[in-house]
Amino acid sequence: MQGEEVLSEFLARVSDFVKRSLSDYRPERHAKPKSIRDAIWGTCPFNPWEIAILDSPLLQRLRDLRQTGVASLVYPTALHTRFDHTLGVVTVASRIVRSINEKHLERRAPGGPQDLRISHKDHRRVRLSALLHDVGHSCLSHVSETIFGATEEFGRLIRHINVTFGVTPKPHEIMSWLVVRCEAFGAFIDTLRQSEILPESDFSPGDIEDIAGNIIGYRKDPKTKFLADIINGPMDADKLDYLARDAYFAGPTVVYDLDRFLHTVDAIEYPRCGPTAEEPTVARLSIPIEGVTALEQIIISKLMLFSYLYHHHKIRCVEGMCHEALARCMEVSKRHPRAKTYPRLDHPVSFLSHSDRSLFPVSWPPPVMGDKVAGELFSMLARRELYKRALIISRLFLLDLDANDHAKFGFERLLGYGTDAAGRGELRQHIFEVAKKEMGSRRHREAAKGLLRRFRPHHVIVDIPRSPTVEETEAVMVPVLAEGTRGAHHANQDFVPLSDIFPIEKWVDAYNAIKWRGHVFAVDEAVRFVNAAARAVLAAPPYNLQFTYQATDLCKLDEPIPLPPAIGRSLLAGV
Amino acid sequence: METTCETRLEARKFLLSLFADLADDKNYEPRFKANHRGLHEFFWRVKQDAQTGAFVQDFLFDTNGNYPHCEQIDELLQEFQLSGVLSRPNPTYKFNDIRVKKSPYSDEFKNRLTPTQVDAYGGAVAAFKRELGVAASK
Repeated sequence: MQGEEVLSEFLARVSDFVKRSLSDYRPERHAKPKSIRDAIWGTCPFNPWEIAILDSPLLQRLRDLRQTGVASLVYPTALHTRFDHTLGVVTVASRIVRSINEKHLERRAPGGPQDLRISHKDHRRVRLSALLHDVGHSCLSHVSETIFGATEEFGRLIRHINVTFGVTPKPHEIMSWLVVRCEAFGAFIDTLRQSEILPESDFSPGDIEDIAGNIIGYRKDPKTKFLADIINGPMDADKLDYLARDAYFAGPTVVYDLDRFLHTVDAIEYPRCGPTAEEPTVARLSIPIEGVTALEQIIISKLMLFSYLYHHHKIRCVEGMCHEALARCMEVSKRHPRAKTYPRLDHPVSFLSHSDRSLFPVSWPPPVMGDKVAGELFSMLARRELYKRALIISRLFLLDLDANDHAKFGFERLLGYGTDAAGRGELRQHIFEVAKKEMGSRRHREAAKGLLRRFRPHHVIVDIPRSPTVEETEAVMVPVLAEGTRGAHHANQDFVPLSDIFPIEKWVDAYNAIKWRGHVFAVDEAVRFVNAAARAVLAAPPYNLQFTYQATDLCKLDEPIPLPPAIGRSLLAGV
Repeated sequence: METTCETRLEARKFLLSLFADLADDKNYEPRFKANHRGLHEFFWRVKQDAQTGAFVQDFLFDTNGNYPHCEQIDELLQEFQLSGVLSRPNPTYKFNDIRVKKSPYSDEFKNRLTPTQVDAYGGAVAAFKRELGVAASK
């Protein structure tokens, strides 16, 4: 199927979903703006047409999508939703717009070359983009997007969008873009215009393209790129809200000077460079020298949040279990269209029909519903019966890594499994088989009889998180005085990447060396067998990895199985 | 961004093979410049070339910003740092030192190339050395 055909098919499916969602919705006409109180940003005003969109089932659906997925099983108060976050992003986007306009009013002549004031109309479009930016998110937020985003059909769509628009959005952003661009949503906007809820003078049908473009970070005219940057860019409103909101609701104390950042953020136009630069200049969000410290603080805090929250071992474990269950549902739904599976996930768009609540059994005690494997996992998660750590994979816990090329390439292969589901699956199967063999050995046969009968491959999870990358430092250009012109009457302006002032790569390197952790998780009763199996498998070629005692010790196993080399070799024999 | 297994592994192997060939050349130091823009533009050109595009076919570039940028390259380089294949030495962090003698992927990667691609690969390695390599001091 060609790119255009793939896009048409996706648009038709999404349109069908939007049509079903809005079929019974009758938007109310509010006479004046409404204010909503928010824990992070205080009192936030919303225009009548924004309230009409917020009240629609399409946006109300976001109330049932937790912002941090299943993190509440680890941080009990992390119960904030995509809906709360959406309100926050609209508010932050407006604050960025106001900050830019204040500066351009003060410093630049209207209509001059550096006049990047944002019009009233553009401000409203930016707010609508913020309002709709997460509308394509699905159950368990980022967990589900790693599954539908990796399907073949979605891969074709990603490539088509990349070729057509030259951007690389994330799967949920593409889904939001599809929602905004689909026929049924266009019809909904027409209804809002005809009923005079959305002012016709401020909003034309062509604006939909701009709003959708902002969501995926695309602007046809590079001189307006900063408008998309507010929604999807290196320091966008999305990031500013989620960093503050996730930290606040999860509980770890992470402090940012967001006020200072929002005070200093600016839009600047500078010469474009490189082989793709058809237009001579581009206008983007930027930060002056006096705001760099605030941005540094945000970036470093983002790294800390990875450690506290996004890469927390228990959260990775819960996400791994959810990933396993959803992937299983998708596999069974696709392979056996009539099979009893719940939720039914036979196409990337089918994820839109499910929310967090619809995945888990609601009756108590939680029964196993639908497919046996997925049902068991959802039931375990509902009871918070979680897998345990069987082995910690960290650069700190690997012996002789610096001196052993074989180990380096073995570790490199293992890290590649982070985005290679097939490779990860093969490793998991190998560990499972070795663990099962050990359970059946003469030493353990009697004690592990029951376990041996119940133990299945999905009771083992290999988790290799991606290292955080920090795009801000290369994509954000900072205006500085050109070399040798300081003090001159007409000092020339130059632009340097933020990385020239704040070399974040040193921090990211240090984070990876010290804080990055991969894991092998397993059901509680099998964890010591899986520990021995994982150590044996990873010690052999092609991995050649020897772990220090801490890799096991920090897992707090009751009674680790000793693994001298001879036993390791015999464990692997015949598997 | 999640990508398909096979193509992602090919790009990974291409990068490792490229770095190993640079480290193997006595005329160059076993290191390359940690020049973000230079690296991304180099691989962007590799992707645009009809002969070499297949080496990095799954790299997706954002061409909407300051210069072509591919998130997968940043992720791969970060992973190579973590595994110890590359190292950015103190105090300047201006170079990526190649910390392995020979990549086991070099032959594996090259054996899969067609005769035309072998020439194209040689051209890509030469261009990489020229643009981002550091000539050995005599």
